[in-house]
Amino acid sequence: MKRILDLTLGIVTSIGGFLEAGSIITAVQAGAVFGYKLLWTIALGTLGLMLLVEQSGRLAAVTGRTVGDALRERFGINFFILPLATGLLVSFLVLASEIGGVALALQMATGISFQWWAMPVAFAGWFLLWKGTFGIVEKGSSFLGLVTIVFVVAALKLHPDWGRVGSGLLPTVPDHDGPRYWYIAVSIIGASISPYLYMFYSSGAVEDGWGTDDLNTNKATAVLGMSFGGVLSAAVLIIAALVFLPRGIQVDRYEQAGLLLPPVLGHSGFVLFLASLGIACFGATTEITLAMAYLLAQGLGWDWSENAKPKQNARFSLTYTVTILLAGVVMAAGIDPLKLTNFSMMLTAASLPVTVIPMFVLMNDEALVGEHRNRWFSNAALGALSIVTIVVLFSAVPLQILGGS
Amino acid sequence: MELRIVHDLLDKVVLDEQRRNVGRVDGVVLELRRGGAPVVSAFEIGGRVWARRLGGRVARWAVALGRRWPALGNGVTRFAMRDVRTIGITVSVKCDGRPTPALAWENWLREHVISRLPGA
Amino acid sequence: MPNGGERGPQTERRRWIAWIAWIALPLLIACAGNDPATQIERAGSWAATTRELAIERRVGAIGRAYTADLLDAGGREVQMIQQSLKPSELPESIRSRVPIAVGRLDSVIANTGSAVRRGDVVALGMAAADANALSDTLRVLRAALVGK
Repeated sequence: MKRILDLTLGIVTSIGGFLEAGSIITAVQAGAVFGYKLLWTIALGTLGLMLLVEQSGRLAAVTGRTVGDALRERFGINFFILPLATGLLVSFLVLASEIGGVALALQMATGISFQWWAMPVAFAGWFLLWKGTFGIVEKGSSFLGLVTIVFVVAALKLHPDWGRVGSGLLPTVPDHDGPRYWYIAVSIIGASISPYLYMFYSSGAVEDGWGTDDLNTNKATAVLGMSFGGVLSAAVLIIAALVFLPRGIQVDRYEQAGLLLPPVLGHSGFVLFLASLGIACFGATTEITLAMAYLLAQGLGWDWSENAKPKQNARFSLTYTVTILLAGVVMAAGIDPLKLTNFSMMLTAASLPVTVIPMFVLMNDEALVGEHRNRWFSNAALGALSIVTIVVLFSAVPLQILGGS
Repeated sequence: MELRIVHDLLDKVVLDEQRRNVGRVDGVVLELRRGGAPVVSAFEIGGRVWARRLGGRVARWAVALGRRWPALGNGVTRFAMRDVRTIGITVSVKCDGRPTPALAWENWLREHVISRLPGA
Repeated sequence: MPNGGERGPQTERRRWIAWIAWIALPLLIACAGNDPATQIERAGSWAATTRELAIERRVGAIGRAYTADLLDAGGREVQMIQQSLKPSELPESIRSRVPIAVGRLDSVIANTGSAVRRGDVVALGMAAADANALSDTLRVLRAALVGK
């Protein structure tokens, strides 16, 4: 019984916490320009995330080490410095764009510029991290994040041609605007498989004290939670395909996304979009900040725990404090949220090999995970994912040159 | 006792007698013995120690930084192998980690910054 | 014992160039995309956005501040398109029509903005119709440019 409760909680948390600034706007751009044609990239990204989340959870449950711990211990400081540096840099930019997302939602609601909202949002996030425990941070924003189910409701209300939606799940080559197509495709991969997500997940597993009897719950949570989450992204794409594409609306400013739901759900749609954007991005803000602090603290051997009081982990607390406030400053300075989001999604995609390929090694190391190492299926999938990430890495820069706008 | 330096010792978390995180094994000290193989006599914890392992420009920067601001470098903590209780997933030492340079920043920040903020 | 050792200065330099390229190039290009077809398409998108904003604001589905702010932003974007358009890059058949359409769009956006601020429902309806017409016009113009 408790297992079912845990599972349900895990799935609900995954759904509520799935969408954020990047996944929303890349899905909107995809639907507005290419209709259903890019649905397969959402499916691919979600699948990849599912794999990594399950494996990072399994790693934590079996060894008691987080991904951050394992990367340093298994590969040494010489290698670890690479995922540490790229992880921190990329996550910082994503963090700034998430704060931008919340600030934008507040701007759209009040008319007060997002630049004025940036620091208050950063402080609010800091306060939650300072006073809250891991459970509160994770579950609080995820439960509120369930408001994003409005996208599924709206998509259903539009009565899409499910046959055509289904055909979008098969990879196709575009008949127009090739570079832009692949540019958005890569951005969606970067938005779906954010490293902070599965690094955060493994730290959470250790904070919650998972053991080998939690492995099945972990697997089910990863598969079901991420699948339902992926459905949310797909819903956003479908809505954009049915509302923006026929009208010829494309996204040059993030705020244009505010027109996504009103044609379907009227004024409620507008309010719920703002709530969804604000809550989803705020949840991501706290998660990314924690994930960055976890990575640094674990990699360098500091005490780290969101459950403990800040006094007990001084360096860890200082890290997340400085990080979130600095990211707030970046947005307060007035960086364009859409450009930053697009850029950070690209950068995330380009940095994937650095974390995905090591996972491959970790999850096959018998000395580390013993009998719980990857079966052939997980290896095949992870291997394919690694190849995809390398291809993405080498295409990211030319794509930005050809397809960025 | 056979000890594989890289696999068993290096980069492992170091816990003191209170199970407190002191840091990670950033470097190892080998003692050259006349007429015998080198012996691991101690291990070290410190930013300067692992920066040196990275080599190249980063190592030179770390050395220069440490020289310019000695407080930032906060010294190197060394534990002799005889202070080691167990080596497993983590390395346990028989000492109290609090007075060591490894936790100098942790202590300083706790006293002067973190505790000053409400709700810590 | 794993140790970085000394690396030659050439490898070091190459490493730094790779890092900088990996970051700077995407950054540089996040702001590119200035060919005429894309410009016209973006103008068309703003025409469609203006139309939608007017329609939704008219029924009170979206907020006043939101609508006014986005129209201002759209106006600035369209003005930038206007300035960056080079008639010499356009074919004869549409060379004169494109700047006219974009110029009209600029004033339609401005009109819509003031209608929103006044709360003038009738003017909003007219603005929606104007924006709609421009959206169609720009679509035709882009097709003419690309199709040839």
